[in-house]
Amino acid sequence: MCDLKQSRYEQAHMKTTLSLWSIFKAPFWLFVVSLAGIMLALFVDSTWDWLATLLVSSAVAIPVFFYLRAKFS
Amino acid sequence: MQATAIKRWEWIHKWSSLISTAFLLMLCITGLPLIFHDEIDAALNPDTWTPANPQAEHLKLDQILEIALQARPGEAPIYMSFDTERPVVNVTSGPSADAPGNQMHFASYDLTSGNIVPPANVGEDFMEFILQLHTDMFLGLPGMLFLGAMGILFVLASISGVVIYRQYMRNLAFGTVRQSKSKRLKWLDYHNLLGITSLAWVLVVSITGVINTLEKPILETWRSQNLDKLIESYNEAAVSKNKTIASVDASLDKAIEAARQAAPDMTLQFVAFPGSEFSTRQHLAIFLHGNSPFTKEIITPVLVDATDGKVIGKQEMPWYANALSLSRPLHFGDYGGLGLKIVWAILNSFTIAILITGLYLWWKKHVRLKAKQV
Repeated sequence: MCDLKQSRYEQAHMKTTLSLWSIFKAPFWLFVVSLAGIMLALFVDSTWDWLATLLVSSAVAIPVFFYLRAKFS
Repeated sequence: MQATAIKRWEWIHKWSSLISTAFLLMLCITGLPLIFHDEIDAALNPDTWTPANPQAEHLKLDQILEIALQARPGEAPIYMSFDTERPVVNVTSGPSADAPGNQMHFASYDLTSGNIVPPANVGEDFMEFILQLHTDMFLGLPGMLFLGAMGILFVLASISGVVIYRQYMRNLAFGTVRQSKSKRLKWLDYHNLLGITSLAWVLVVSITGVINTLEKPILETWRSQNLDKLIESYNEAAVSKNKTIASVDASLDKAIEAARQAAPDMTLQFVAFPGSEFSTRQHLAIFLHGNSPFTKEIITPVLVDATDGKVIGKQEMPWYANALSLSRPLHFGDYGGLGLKIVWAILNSFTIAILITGLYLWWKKHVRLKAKQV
């Protein structure tokens, strides 16, 4: 647990400057997934709507995850 | 990135946000109940209505139109639309077919008896107020265009936010929230995290919002270019902008049947009478839509001569009108069931948080700079 906290701290306060791709890798994939969900819901109906909703809700789940992690770690 | 370029992007982010924040807050707050418009309507107006003669043959639409106009003497028909789940036809009438929205009268009729269906209008005034505030702030077209400009500023703020995100995150892992540091840093981290994660949704909703504000110019362009072209291709002499609004002498049922034959794989959506915003002064415009989840958002008009019932032709809507049709569901999130609506509402709340944290960060910086100057 202590090691995990330590690594998170190090991760959060890196001494080196991150590359452009390192900064935007996660946001890029999140953008693609949530946009895919928004568009998918236009082309499908009924049960497939849930898959679309799930994809869009990644934009909700990720900040909630980091909020909870910051709050309770 | 060079320091001057960063400063320039920061300037764009600051001013595009500051100018639009108050209006965007209003749009986000009024947008929340609009996402759940159907659910609010259903909760306030439980559907207890049943048709008078469920087994009876449906009345002709000509009969319904006659009943509707008898109930509103001296008025002209403007639109007729069809309930998808009940045998109900809705007739919109007004002092003239080109009457403004606030002079229109809407009534629903039972197709099995011709009786008026009691209006489900509990809470309608409130929702109408919210919709009007959200759409044009009670200012008509200038209000719509102004809100469209605010939407463009929001797109600019989002894009500039992504550019300067790089600067703030160059030494931080994605999702970092410096909980133990100052309040300002914590709010900055939340602002960045919420902003970057909801980017796709924010861009879709703001761009479609801007397109929606162009509704009137888009419809006007479509009417003046495409409808006239369609009529010209049939009979050039028939195009006359000053012609008075034609009365509907042809049978409505026959006109709809003819339109259905012209577009056999489509479903009837609504009829626009001569002189209304969606038709010409001489024709019935019968709108049909496709049957797949995507094509049901796209409408196609079939023009029928109001005097003799002859089909003038069918024409696909131009790309900008289709963009407008698709922008409505994409803006309000009401196209993928309740689950998607809930996600839409949460992301809308995130946007409120982004706006408030942004305002807080600007204020803190402003106060700090002022203190430095002193």
